Amino acid sequence: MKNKKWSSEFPEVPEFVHQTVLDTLDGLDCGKVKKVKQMKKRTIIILAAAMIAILGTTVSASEIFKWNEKANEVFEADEEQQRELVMEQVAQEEYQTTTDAGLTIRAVQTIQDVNCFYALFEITAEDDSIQISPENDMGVQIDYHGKESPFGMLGRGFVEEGRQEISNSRYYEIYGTKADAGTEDLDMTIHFTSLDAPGEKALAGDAMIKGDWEFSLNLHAVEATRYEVNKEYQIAGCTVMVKEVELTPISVKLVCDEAGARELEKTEGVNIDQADSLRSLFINGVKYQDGTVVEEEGYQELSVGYENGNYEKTARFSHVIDVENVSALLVGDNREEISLP
Amino acid sequence: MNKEQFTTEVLKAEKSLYHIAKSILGNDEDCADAMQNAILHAFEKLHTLQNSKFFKTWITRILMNECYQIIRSKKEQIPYEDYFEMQTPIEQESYSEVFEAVMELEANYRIPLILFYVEGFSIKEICQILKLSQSTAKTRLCRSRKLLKEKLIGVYGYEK
Repeated sequence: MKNKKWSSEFPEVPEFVHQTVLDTLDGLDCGKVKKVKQMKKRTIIILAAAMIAILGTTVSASEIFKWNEKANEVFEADEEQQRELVMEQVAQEEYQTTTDAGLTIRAVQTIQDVNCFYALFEITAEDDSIQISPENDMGVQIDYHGKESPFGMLGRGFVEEGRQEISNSRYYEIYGTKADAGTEDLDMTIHFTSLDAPGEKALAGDAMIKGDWEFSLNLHAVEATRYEVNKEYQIAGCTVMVKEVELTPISVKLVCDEAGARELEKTEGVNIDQADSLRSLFINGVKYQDGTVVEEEGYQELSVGYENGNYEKTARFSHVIDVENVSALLVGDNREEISLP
Repeated sequence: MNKEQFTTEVLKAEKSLYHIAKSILGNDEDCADAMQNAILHAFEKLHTLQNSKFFKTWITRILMNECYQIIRSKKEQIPYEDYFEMQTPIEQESYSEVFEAVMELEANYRIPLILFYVEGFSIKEICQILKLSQSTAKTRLCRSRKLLKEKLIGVYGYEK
């Protein structure tokens, strides 16, 4: 049965599928490819869909993105608090607003840490007959001022419909994963060139509004807080030595012994070397010192693998985390606690 | 593996990826979405691929995850087989009888069969892709052969 005839019985790749593949490959790492349908990037920040549906278009960014208390402070703080938070270098709230060709773009929030970058913009068309949907996109050019892009992956897009009602105003996210972890200042100019109509698949749509909206960002990176754990935990029936945890408000690094992780691989029947993930080490929440639990809902692994006899992984949180008050990570489906010293 | 090598490998695997997506999703629109998502995801995770000789197995696994994700997210309230039946009639006018017979098999039998006979994966690779034991994979292949033979004889009156 196993012969070449089988392949000829199966259909050829349709032209539009082939074109999608070509467009996707062509747009890799230069920000041209717009992910369609459900993508992990859309779950970076937790949503409050029901609340948004009720509140409609008047909701603030903090309501849309449901940051935790710390981040709400960033959005809602008075001027003195804002200065304090910016000095902590956790987040920079940008107040740059630019209007051109009847389109106003406001930089709302930017955050950078050792692994990730996140920026939030609010895009508003003066003409309220222009309804901006998640399928629209922005023409964007990013200039790193003579340096190479630090990002291995850079995604962007308007927030999905479940997070914000469609109107003439919509939040737009740009999020980056650094190719190499680092805490260098991020000096970049984000230049928007157009509001684009919805496109077909990976193709960008035609420009609906052309103009120049430029934002200069100079971001410090928050240093990670490092915890030496060095303690054995029983996770999914396996003994795993957790060696180290590093936390920032938006990402986490977990280091365990390789032997323990290999045991988990066998238990779960997965192979990390072939892009599988260890479900039992998914960080599904954090616990604060007062017992409050913040559940992860948009957990996203950034890197995972074995190095120097260790299993190491980094991931970004869906919530901004108040690092100083974290007492434990909750891993796996059973939310097993990894206590931080 | 750099971007150019990645592109080359994806294009080499394109037909195979399409067949596999097709076998799970049925609908070409969804196949295109799944393939696009898989390519983006694979490129993002490229640093985790430690040996390029496993590329096809690795990206196939990623693709299948994306296919299942599409099914989960779009058709949460509809059983998979119902969803699949809803998709297939749309684009079947030019398909071969063998293809249609394969697509009528249950997913548990259809997917291993396509991976093994159409795409040439080994039993070991199929076990890695589908997370099955060797005995289960072999059992399903054996059963799928039998079912397909019955279909081709019973429905089309010949044995391929």
